Amino acid sequence: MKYSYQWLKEYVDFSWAPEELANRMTMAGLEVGTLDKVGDDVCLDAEVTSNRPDWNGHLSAAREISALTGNYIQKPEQTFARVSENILSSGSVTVEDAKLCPRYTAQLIRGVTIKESPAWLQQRLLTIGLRPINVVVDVTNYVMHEYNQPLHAFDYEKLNGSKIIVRRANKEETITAIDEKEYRLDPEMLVIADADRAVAIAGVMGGAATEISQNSTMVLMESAAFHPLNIRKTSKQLGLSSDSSYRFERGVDVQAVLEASNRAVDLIVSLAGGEVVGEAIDINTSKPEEKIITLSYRGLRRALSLDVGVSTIEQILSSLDLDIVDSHREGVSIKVPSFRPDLNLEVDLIEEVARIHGYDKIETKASFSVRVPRANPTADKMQIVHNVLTGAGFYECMSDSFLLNSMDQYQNMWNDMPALSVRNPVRQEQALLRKSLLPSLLLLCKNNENAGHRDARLYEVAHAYHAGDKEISKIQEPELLSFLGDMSFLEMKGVVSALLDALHISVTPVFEPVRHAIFTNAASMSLDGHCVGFLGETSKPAAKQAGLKSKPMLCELRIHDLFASVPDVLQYQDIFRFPPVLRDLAILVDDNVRWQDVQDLVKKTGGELLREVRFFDLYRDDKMGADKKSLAFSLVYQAPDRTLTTAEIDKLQNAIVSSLKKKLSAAIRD
Amino acid sequence: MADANQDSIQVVFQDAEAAVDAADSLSALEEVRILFLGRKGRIADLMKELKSLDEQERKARGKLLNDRKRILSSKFDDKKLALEQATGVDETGEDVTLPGTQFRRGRRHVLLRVMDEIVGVFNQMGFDVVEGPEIEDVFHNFEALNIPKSHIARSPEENFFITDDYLLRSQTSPMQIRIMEQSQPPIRVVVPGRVYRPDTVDATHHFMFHQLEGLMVDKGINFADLISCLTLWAQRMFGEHTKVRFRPHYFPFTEPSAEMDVSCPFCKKGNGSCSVCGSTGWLEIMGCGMVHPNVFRAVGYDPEVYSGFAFGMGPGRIAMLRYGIRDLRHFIENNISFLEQF
Repeated sequence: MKYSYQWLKEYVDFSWAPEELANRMTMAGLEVGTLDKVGDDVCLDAEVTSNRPDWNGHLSAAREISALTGNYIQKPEQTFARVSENILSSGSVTVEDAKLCPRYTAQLIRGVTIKESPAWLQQRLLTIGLRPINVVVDVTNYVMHEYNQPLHAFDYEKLNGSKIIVRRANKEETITAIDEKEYRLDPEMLVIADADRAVAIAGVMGGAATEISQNSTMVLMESAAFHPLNIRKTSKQLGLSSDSSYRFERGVDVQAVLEASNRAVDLIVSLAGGEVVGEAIDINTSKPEEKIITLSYRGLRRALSLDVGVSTIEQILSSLDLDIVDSHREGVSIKVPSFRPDLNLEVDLIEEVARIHGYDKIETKASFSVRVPRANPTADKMQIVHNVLTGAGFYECMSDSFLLNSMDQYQNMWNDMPALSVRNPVRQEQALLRKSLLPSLLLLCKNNENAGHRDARLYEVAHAYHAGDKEISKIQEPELLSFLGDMSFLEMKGVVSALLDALHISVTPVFEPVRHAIFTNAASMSLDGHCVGFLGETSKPAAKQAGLKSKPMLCELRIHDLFASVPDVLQYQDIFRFPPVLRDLAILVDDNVRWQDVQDLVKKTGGELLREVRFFDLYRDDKMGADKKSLAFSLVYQAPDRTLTTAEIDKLQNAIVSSLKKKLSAAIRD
Repeated sequence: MADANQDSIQVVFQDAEAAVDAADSLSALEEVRILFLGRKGRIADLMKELKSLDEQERKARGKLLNDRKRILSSKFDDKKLALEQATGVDETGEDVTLPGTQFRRGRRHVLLRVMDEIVGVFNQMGFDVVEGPEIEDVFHNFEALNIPKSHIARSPEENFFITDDYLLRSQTSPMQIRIMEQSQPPIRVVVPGRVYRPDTVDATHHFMFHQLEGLMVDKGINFADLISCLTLWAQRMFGEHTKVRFRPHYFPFTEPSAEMDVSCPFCKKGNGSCSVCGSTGWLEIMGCGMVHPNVFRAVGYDPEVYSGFAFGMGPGRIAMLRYGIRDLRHFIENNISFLEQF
C-alpha cells in the first residue's frame, strides 16, 4: 500500500521526517519498504500483512501514528445537506443475493459538473501512483484509499429503468468493462445490473456503458460490501483485478460503508457542485459482531516479561480506537471495532500493546536455560556418509523433487506403483514426484557435461516418494543415498565397500545380478537378508533419454536399511602380533564360476588360520580357451598365538588346492 | 709387493680416513669409497696380501684389517649422512615449484552445509533435530496452524495439492503440530526440510526451497525467551557483534509475531549504498512469534498452562547473504563450477 506523507499529516500531527516516519511505522508492524519523492510529497510504499486489511486506507495508518505519538486523529467531516426529494426509492435498489452482498448503499447527486480535480487532489493521487481522470472518479479513488472502501460512481441517467439490481450473472452474460474489454460471465459471479443488463462486475470493475463521462450530471454513488471469497474467485476466473477487488478480497469494514459514501458525496458536492437528493438507500443484512476482549495486566507482564504502566496500556488501546468498556485493577476490557476482525483473544491485545510500546523495550537475557538434546545416531552416521563420499571425490547435489515425465520408466527399482503427481505442476512435463534419485542425478550429470565438466562424481541424500497402494495415507518417503561417477563397476563397488567399512558394518554384503531399466550389468546389494540398494552402469536408453554422452556408474542405497546394519557398539579386537604368511594362488576356472563361490570354498577349507583371501586379478586370454578365466588371489595365513610353520601352511594350502580342483574343476596356474 | 706390515696398514687406513674427512660432496665421497672400499680398492689389496702370510700372522692381521675396516665403514656412513643432510637428499633435485599431484576432493552442497551449521548452533542450545514428512494433510499443514479454509494461504493456486486432503507441505510448521501431538512438554526442537509453494522461477524465487522450523514449549516461556534465544543464535551464526532487531509482523500461528533482522555485515552503516541490504543496514532473516493459543488447543495442550515460541527461516537466504550468491538457481543447478567453490 502506498501512502502519501502529506496526506497522512492531514489526519494526525507528527514532526517526523519521512524517513523517521517510515522507521516508526515499520517498528510498529507496518513495514515501509521504499520511499520515493514525488513533487513536494513523499510516497511511502508499505507491506500490508493479511491480518490488517484496514491498513489499505490512509485513516488506518494515521491511527497507528496517533497511537505512536499520542496525538489525536482528526477524521474528515461531512457538511453537505440533503435535498428532501425522493428520486431513489426502496424499489430502486434490489439485492438478490444477500450472502454475496451483505450491504449495499446508494446515494444520488444531481447537477454535477464533470471537470478536472483541483491540484491538491491530483497531487495526492499522483503521489500514490494513481492517474487523475475526472473529479468524480478521482474522489472515488481518493476515498477508497482513505477509508479502504471501494466506491463506484454510475452515470444515473444511463441506468436503464433507473434501477440497481445486485444479482448473479446469467449464463453467457457479457459486459464491456471500463478497460474496454469484453468479459464473459457466469452464474458464480456477482454483477451490478440495471433493469436490462449487467452494468458492473461487482467489486471488480464497472461497465463502460454507465461510466461517468464529460456530460454526466447525475451521479449514483455505490458503496457496498461483498463476500471476499466470491470476489477472489471472480477476479481469478476473469483474470481481472483492480484496487477494488484487492480490497474486497481482503475484507472491508461493513460498518463504515455508508460513512465512506457520505465522505465521497461531500467531496463531490464541494468540488463539482450539485446537490444530494434524498437519503441514502442502505440494504444491510450484516449482523455486527459484539466482541469484548479482556486484557489482564498479569497476563501481559508474564507474556512479555515487561512491566508496562496501566496508563500507557490504556492510552495505547484507546488511541487505536479500541474502546475501553471496563477497567479495574486486574485489567481492562475493550470492545472490538468493526475494522479489526483480527482481534479475538487476549494474545491479540498483548501484541497491540507490545508493538506500539516497542519490542525493543523487552530485555534480552544473557544466557539461555541448559538442556541436553537427544542423541541423534542417524545424524552421526550421516556425517560418516558425507565424509566418505566427499573424501572419495563426490560433490553433493541438491536437486528438484519433481522428475521429468520422460524419465519415469527409470525409477521403478524400489516400487512399481505409479509415481505421485501434483495437480498444478509448474511445468506440465515435470509433474512427477520422484521415486528414485538416480534419474535426477543423470540429468545433473548431463548439465555438467554440457558445461564442460566431464567425469563428474555426484551424490545426493534426499527423500523419494512412494505410493503404498491406492490409499494416499500410506505414502512412504524413504531417504535415499544416490551417487554416480565415471568409474568401473568394481571401482564403484570399492566406494560402497569403503562406506560399509566406515560405518563399521561387519556383515558381508551379498550381491546378485538384477535387471532394471536404468541399468545394464547391475547388481542388488543385500545386508542381513534385506535388499539395501542397487549398483550398475547407466543403460544406453537411459543415458540417451537423459541427454548424456557418457554412461556413468550408478549406485542407490536406502539409508534406513543401510543404517540398520550398523552395530550399536564397536569392540576392539586383539591385534595379531605374530607375522602373517602370504601364499598367492592363480586358478583357471570356467567362466561361469563366480568369485563368491571360490572365496566361500577357500574360506571354508582354510578355516580359522586363513585370515584373509585377497583377490587381485581376473585374467582372460585366448590361449586359455573361450569360456575360461584365471582368478588370482593371495591367501593370508596368520595365527594369534604363534608363528605358523611351513608345514602347517603347506597342509592348509594343499587342502585348499585340492578342494578347488575337486569342487570347482579348477586348474592351478603356475 | 711391499711388506704388508702393520705400518703400511696404518698408512692405508689413515689415508682413507683423511680422504673421507676431506670429501666435500657425495660424488667426492663416492670416489673415496671406490678407491678404498671398492672391490679393486686399496683395502681389498691389503686383504689379498693376507694369502702370503702364515696362519698365525694371517689371523692377527686379518682381525686388525676387519676391525679397522669396520671403523672406516662407520666413519664413511656418518660422513655420507652428514653430506646428505647438508646438500639435500637428492643432489639432482626436482623443481619444487611444479604443481602437486591432484587428487579428487568432493564437497558438501553449500546450502546443506549452511543448514547443518544453523541446526548445529540450535543443537548446542539444547534443541533436538527431527524431520517431518514432505507430503502433508490439510489438518497438519493448515487447520491445526490456525489457518482456516477461507484463508488466502490455502487456495489451490498457492499450493501443490496432490488430492483434496494431501499436498506438498508449504512450510515446515506442520511438524510442530506432529511433535506436540506425539509428546508432552517441555519441547525444544528444530525441523529442517524441503517445502514447496508454486512460484515462477527467477533469481530470488523458486517453487522448492528449504526451511528450518523451531519450537520451544514449556511452562512460563515468554517473549523475552524468544528474543534471547534468537539473539544468541544470531550472534553465534553471524559474529559476536551482530545486532538484531525484532519488527512486529503477522503469522496465523503465532501471536505476538515478529520478523528478526540482523545487522548487515557487508555495509558500513549509512555510508553510501549497500547492494546487499539496500542501505537499510538490516537483513531480514526469519519470522517468529509466540505460539497461538488455537494451535495449542488443536494439539490438546492447555494454553493457560503452557506457552512457547516458534520460528522459521530459510537457510537458502542465509547462504546467499553470507557468500554473496545473487541467484538461487545455482543451488538447484548443481554445476560443478558452483559446487566446488564452497
